Amino acid sequence: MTLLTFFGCAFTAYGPSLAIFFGFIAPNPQLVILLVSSRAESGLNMVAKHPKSVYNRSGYAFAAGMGFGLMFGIISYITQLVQSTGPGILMCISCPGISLYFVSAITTCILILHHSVWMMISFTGFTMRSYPRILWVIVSHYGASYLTLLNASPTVTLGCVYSIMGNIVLLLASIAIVMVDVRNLQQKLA
Amino acid sequence: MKFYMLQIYKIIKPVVVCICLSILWVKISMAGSDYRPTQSSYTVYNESATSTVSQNFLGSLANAGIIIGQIVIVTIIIVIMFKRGHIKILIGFFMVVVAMLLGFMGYILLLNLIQVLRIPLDYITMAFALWNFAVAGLISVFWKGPMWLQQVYLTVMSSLMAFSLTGLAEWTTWMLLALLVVWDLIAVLCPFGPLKILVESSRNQNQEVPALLYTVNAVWFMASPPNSILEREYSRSKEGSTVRDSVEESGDLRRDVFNGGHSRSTGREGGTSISSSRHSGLDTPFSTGGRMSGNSSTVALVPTASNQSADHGDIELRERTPSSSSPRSGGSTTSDRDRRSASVRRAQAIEQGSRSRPQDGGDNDGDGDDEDESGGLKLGLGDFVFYSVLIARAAMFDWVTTMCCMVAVLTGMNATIFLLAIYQKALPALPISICFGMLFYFATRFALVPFLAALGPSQVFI
Repeated sequence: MTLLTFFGCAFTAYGPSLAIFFGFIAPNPQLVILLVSSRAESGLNMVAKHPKSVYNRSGYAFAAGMGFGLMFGIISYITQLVQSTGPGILMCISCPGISLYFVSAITTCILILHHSVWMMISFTGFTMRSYPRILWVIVSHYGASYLTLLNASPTVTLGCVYSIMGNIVLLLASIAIVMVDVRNLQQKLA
Repeated sequence: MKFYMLQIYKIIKPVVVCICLSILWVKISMAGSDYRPTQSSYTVYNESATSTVSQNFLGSLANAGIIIGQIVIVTIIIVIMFKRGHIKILIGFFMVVVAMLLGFMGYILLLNLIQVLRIPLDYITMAFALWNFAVAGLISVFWKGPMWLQQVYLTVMSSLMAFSLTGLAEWTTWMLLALLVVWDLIAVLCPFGPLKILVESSRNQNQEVPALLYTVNAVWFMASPPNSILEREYSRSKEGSTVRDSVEESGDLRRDVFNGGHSRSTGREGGTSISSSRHSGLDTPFSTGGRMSGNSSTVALVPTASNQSADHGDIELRERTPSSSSPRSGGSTTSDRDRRSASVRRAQAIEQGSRSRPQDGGDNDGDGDDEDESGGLKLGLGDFVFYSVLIARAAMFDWVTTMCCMVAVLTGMNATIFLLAIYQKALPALPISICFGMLFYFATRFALVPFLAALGPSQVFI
């Protein structure tokens, strides 16, 4: 059971982001480098496959955000993940029916994606000087983090459900913003 | 620039694999095995939990100083021998050392695996398997073999070497890494640094004496992905009539130059210490004018003179292995000390003329990207080893530190390669990465780990 827990949690937490990594980022050397060490973004434009493409920036932002998110996800969750193979099990405090490891895995997965879209939004926000976007990133980041406090809340029943649902809603909202931005780019192009 | 991007990408992969293997070995051997690498016999000071900080500091400085001293001496010996043209002697040494490394460290690792995983295995089978493993490695590294096999062996060798170095005590490891950074800077950047001399003399000698190259060189293609090889072969066949000497032809193309060396030095305390250094370089055979020079522990990129269109010629990854001390459970200690030296060159200085350019896939899409870089990147095997040593040491503490150090080392490597693009000369690859790695290790260990330990169980994600 412990090994099953381990693999289940590992793939829950990192599966989606790894799928994105291998599908979208790995074939593209620049993006991999950006993911590993995000810097020199402007220099990368010169070497892009399509140097003029307006989508470059979005792609870079996504790769950088994914790198940041993966780093975050690994650092904050790997200790628990390793412990999940151990002899015991911890239950989530607010939802005693589910193990802590699994709830954390879901949260990690959502937060990694969060970081990717946050990075895209803040790239757009800072280049266009659009303060509402920057504000949204900051506020939703705080919101997502505070929501995870519910996981361990002894008083709120089913706190982990609220936490996860709230995070998903925030993620969807952020994705909607990104979609709108990309569509704007498209229209500018046309 | 684009060329560098591809180079970085190609180099990252073997480095990551090597690091992951080292982490795996460490984690396995920490899971309660009796056969962990032990302190080698030439360390003069043994750390203990009760000793004071200053005792630890001075003692580990002495230990690391001894190791560094050996490295320096062996490097100089190799440089001298290389300059005098005793390449066959070097190769002989290197072969012995590679065989020892694969055999003994493979044996220790296998004991670890068997014990931890509880695999029943008799000695005869194991000896047979080990013998085959070592000999196949020797052949593929020094003579010829499928490209992927060479890559696998070089990566495995680096990780074995790093594994053997995890036997050093903690303070000694950090001190050793810090001193290595200094040594690396001196050796590569000083006007009379041994490694710099080595690089230059290898370049000169190659051009003068192409015949030597073949004997010396083995081929290794770690750096290039298969499809680019195909492309090269294609372009090469196209170019058919090149001057490319019979020498290279006889080998596969893919082979390039490799020069591996080991040197053995007599051990000082109780035993022999073997120093081995190997390098392998690889170039694409085609590069016409491209010449690479590697420096140990450096990523060297040498622009070739006069190349016109084709700039990206070769990729070379050269590896150097540094020292490893291998601890033997039996008591006989052999320490491998490494030394690096390597040189790679390619024989054909001559044919500048044939300009067929092999380009790897990405390169072709004609970006006229300035910078005629026609060199390739070489990363010393020693760099692989010490990166892995750092991370293996971090892995002995915690997973979080491991991951942080891994990212730090890779970032440092990227930064080095960017600097390479700017300065266009051989640079030591260790300093930035190792400094980042050490910084991150201590920052993580003392700040981040306790913080996460508080956050984790309460499931707060920041």
